Amino acid sequence: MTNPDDRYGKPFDLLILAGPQTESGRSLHDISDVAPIMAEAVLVLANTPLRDSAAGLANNVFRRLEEVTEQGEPTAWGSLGIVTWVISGKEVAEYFAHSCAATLLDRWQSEAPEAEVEARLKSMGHATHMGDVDELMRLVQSVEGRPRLADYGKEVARSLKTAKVKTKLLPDKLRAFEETFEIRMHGAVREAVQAAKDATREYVGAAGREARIVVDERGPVAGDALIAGALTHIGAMQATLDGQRESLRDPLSQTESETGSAFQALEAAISRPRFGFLRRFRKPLAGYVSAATKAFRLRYAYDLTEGVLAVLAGAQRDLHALHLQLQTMVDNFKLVGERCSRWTEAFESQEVTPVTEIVRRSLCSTDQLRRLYRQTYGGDWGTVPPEMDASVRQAVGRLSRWIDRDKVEIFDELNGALAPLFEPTARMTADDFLRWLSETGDSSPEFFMRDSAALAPALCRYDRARLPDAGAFEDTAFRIVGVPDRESSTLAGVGDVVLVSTGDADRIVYLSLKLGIAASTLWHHERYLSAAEEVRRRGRVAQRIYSGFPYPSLDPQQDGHSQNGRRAVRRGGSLDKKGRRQAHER
Amino acid sequence: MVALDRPQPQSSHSGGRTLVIGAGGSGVLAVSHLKALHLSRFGRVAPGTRFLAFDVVETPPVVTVPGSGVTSRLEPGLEYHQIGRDCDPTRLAHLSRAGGDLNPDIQKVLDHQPDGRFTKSLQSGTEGERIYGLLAFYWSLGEIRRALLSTLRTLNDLRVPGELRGSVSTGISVQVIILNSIAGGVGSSIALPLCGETKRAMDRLGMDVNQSTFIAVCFTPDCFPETLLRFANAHQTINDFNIAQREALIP
Repeated sequence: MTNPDDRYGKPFDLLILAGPQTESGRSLHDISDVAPIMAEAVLVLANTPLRDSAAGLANNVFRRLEEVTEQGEPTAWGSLGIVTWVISGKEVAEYFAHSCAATLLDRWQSEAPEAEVEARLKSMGHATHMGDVDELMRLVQSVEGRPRLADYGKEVARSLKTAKVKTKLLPDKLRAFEETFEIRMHGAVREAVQAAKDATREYVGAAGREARIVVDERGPVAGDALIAGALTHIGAMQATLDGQRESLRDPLSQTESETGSAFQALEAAISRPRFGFLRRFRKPLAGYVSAATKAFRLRYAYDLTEGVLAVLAGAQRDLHALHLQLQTMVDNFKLVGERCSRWTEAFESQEVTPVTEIVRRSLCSTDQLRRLYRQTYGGDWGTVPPEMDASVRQAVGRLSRWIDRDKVEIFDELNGALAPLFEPTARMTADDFLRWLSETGDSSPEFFMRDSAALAPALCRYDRARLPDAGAFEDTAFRIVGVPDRESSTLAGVGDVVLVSTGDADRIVYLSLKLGIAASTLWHHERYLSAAEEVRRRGRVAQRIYSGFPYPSLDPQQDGHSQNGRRAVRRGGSLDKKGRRQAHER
Repeated sequence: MVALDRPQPQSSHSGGRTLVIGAGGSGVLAVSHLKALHLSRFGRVAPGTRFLAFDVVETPPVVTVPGSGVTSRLEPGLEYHQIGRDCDPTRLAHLSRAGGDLNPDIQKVLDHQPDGRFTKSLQSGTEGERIYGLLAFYWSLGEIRRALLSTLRTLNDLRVPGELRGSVSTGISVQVIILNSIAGGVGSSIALPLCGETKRAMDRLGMDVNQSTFIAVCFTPDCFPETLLRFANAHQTINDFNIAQREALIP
């Protein structure tokens, strides 16, 4: 198709000019600013209920206009201005919730007084026989009040008294006795170590329970302090036992050596041929029994100490695991708190650019929102009223439930507990916020309309001297305001605007359209003309590029546009708005 | 206020059908921003809206909605179409001078060039010369027509909330919005022919062209650094639009 197509009438119903310089003289930067703003305007005109209202109002204006001005320029040209006020009740509620979450998490990390921790530790210790080393060793070395292991010397004496032994069989008898006693000693050590295990298990269990109670009452920092105290206590016990073990090492070695020597002496005495009863060997026998008794006593003490030390090491591992859990909970509290703080900071720091000032203009400032918080929820910004704290604690339950939870779960539960409290704010529409601003004296519907009109000048700069009615546009301009619900809007009846319900709770859109403005009234139009003439004079660049187009002669006076800026709009007359070809000459 | 990093689904968008076309770099940029706005505001492109964009560069830009973090790009081959790919204006001019058999539309464009000389390649854009933009348009006319047809067909087949199902179709009407600058070399030259091709495509699909609305959004030269050619283009483009409107013609 190379010839112009005349089957569809005029190509466009409306031609909107858009540039960075506005009617009020304000200047955007360049296409990088104008393009996103016009995108917002197109979205409003195409995808919101303002679409039909704008079409209807534009048609009303075009009905009053001739198709062309006196100078023969189409009156389909126009320009628009827009400002979109934004505030989301849901986001404001989240802002409040995040701030409260950060405050609460900080409050729930208080430390417990040292005296309280000490008192709890002491109580735990005594309840489980872990008050100190002596208490523990007393426990493990006795059964029902009696020593777990008998004295070797007494056992030997009783045995020799009850059964007469031939003299030359005495060494063997004593050897057998030693073996038997050693087995009994090892058994006693095992039982004692088991008793120590039971005691430490109870101690660790008690520490866990106490820690949870402290976490519930004061938070993880205090709970962790208790566990840290228990670890220190165990460490002290270990140090004491370690010292005791060390102090037994040399005497044990010496005594065992002495025992060996005494036994040899006894054997030698028995091997010399003598007749008589046992009492002849009383002295070497007594020497051996004394040494052996001491050796067994020291060996028992040494092995028992080693066994209890191993048990305490296990207890320390278990307590350390608890400590890690609580440390993780402390870290999670801190991380979640920091995340909430960063969220509120991001919310408060608006990205203010020439574009966002027009298409995402905040309806309320941070200070106003903080005042809203104080007014609605009864606490200064940055604080959480006691009733709110209690309500959240009740919803969250015991803080100790969070010991094994990750930070995402903690945040979700805390947020879940806070969100219902801010439901009244979440339900607020942009209109509700505007109403609140009016009630507090920060704004009024009339002021808001005036402000919007000033912020939404036409995105195009014209030479006012060449505009009809010096730019009054009373008959060819209209303003539409999109509100969440016009029936209940605080802007109903205010200003000469058409109010439209958009159903968008978070926005109030102010759109102005001015129609019937010839393109020749653009501010730089004379310069466009001069440039075109210069380019034509140079003759290197094609300007008339459409085949078969009815271009006028190149006489500038017959170029078909207004040169002198005469009145561009003629009122009255009925029009075919689709511009199907009329029976007139081209 | 800063929106959270997630789209804000909204059920209040209009149920009408809209085709938004970006012509040239500025038009493509504006449509790219519009698509990003849809994703940010509605979580998706609104059901009755389609985007098309045409320019001589290979890929469309990636744009971000301020304050939301939502980024998007027009989908190449579906929403964005590079026109004039592999078009060699110099070779075409040579063929024309040698009496070669060229597509009549392209021949007519070549005939408008002073001295018939084309010295630029489209690889670096049109450098503001409208005739190169128009040449790219006719070079890729087949692809443009296919894109318009397939896109309009999806709008034609769409059922919009509130429409009666099963009724005899009386021709669907569409709001068509074409965005272009009047200063550059592509948008200023192809906006009018694009409007014409759109109407023809709608006619072919049985859509109601007369009841449809056509809106042009024209970016003025002060959106760009001032040059003699940009100002001259603005004057001529305004003239072309005026002639088309006044005489009810589409090139």
